[in-house]
Amino acid sequence: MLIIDTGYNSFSLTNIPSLVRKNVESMYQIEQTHRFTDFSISMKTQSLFRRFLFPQVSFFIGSQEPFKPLPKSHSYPFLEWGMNWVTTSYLSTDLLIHAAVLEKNGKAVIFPAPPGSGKSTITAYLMLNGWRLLSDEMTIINLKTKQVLPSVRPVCLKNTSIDLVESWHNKTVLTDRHKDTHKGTVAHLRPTDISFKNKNLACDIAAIIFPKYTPGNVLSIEEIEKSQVMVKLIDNAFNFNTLGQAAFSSLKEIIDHATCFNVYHNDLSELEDFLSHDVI
Amino acid sequence: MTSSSKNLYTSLFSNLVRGCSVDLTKFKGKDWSQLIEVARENNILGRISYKLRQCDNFNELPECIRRHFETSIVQTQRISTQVKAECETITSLLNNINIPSIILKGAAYTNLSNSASLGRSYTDIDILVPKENIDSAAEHLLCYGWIPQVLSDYDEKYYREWAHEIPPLYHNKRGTVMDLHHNLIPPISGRAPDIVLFTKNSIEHKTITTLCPSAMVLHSAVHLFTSEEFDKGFRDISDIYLLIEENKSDEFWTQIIELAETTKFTLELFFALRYCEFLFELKVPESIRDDLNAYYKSPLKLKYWDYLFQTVLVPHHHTFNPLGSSLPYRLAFLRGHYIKMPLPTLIKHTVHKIYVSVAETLFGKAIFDKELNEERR
Repeated sequence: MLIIDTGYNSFSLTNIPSLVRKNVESMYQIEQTHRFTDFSISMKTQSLFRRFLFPQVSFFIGSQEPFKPLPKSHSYPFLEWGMNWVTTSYLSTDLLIHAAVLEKNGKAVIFPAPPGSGKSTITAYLMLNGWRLLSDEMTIINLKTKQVLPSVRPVCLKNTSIDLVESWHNKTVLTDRHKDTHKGTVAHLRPTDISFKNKNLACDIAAIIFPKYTPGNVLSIEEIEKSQVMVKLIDNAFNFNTLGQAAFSSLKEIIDHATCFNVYHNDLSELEDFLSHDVI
Repeated sequence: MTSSSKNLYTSLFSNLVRGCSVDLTKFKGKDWSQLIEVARENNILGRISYKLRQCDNFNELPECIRRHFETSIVQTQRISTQVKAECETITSLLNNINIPSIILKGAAYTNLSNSASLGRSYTDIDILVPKENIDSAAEHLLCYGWIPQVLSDYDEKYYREWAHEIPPLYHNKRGTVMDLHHNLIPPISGRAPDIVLFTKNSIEHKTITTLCPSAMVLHSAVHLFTSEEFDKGFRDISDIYLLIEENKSDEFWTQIIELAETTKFTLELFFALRYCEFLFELKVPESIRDDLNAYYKSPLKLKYWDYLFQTVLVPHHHTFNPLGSSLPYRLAFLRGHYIKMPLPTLIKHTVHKIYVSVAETLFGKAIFDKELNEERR
């Protein structure tokens, strides 16, 4: 059994195919103590007959199988996506927003962005340049303290950004590449040690930035109406409707105090420079 | 190990359902992981969350454990708000074209805010309308976004000829699912009652209508003890217990036995009371028990029924009572089908289902998918 603690939640993984196990061990700090975990997950490969034709793998939380099986070669990303689904389905005491969030100098910057906006590439870049990763996929906001709670999990890189990230550093730890998933080719990037070390450290929110990758342009910044930020965050939230009024008033307070921009970027170092000097 | 875990969860959950205080200090970290998982898989996490909150020491539990129960409470509260709004809308839409409707099962409990409604979750909303109105009701609801599921010709025919409901309707924006019924049990079973016997004492609450308590409990019992799947068995029998506890009065008992006798559902009532006694120590008036016992006294049959229901009605989990795989589950599955269909129909139905599953395995699921085939044309 492997135990993963992301800071926000914990998973016990049993019966994990060896290939996945290898990736899990390289992506997380593994614990082996017997203790409370939020979810117990297992994966099973299919019957003997099937194994030779078109091998598939199934994802289980307890006895339940919430998804149809996927090709065995997609096992690791399947596990990661399954863990996302489990969290958003079964934990709803804090507001969960589909957005990346990183911290520098004790201030968190949230990047809500649709797929394809370069969110994960920015996350990887900032993290590899000393920012602390709180999360790549899910910004978790405690409604009482209005702080972000870290959920330290690998960054999911897609297609061309995998080569790009690999070219920045020779020390980046990536999983195998998983081809032909519904997101194209994906590989996961291990969070930095400082991110793991501070996985229980909540952080105040300083800014909400909507990045857009626009090739061939210089960095341009556009102020954005607070009411629009509210609408966009609600759109990206997984459980806004469940939390209702409490989520609305906390979000309003957060947005009132945060710096909010649309940023059109072409060069990541320029973007990092802007964030470090002008935003936080 | 397995039978002790099974007994542990059965007695723990039944104590909680009954509102008994439970000593939470005896559970260690790892026990909570499994307890939460078992409760969730049995669809009673919401129900026991409300009860756990009332136990001493609940607030001393670590936050990481408590939040699972709190999540379940906010999620089921949200569902309940949604269900109430849906029921009000559906009722008034049908009122507009003068079709009377009655809200059934879970959605009815929620609208009544009774003890079975706390923490209850749903997959669909069940509505009863007169048989002669069911097609016009579906047509009218279609104008307001309720879309019927596309079915194979066989399934369509199955619903139209044999079933007590039409194929499920999905709301195109809100994603809610509605089952429109004209009876409580498939007419093909030969046991569908004159529905008026169930509906004649129905009760109006503000804008919606539900069955009266005795009819509601008997319907729950009929639904549970004629079904073939028991993944929510424990939840359903605890619904029945909570409903009886809340409504039991001399009048209730007289009405329910009378209704069961006239509609020939005494066996289902007998089962409901027997297993509520077994699981929740329900006190059944002696006269009622004697009446029912007189019908069902074969010791062999009683042994067989207990063998089935004492397994399929208690909490299941892959480690101690795996759903579906043991003999009692298989027998209960066959029993459910056999009650609902006369043997020749059942054989025809089974042969068709086997044919479909073999064909799908060989040629892919698409061959029976109407939407996909139409797109191809």
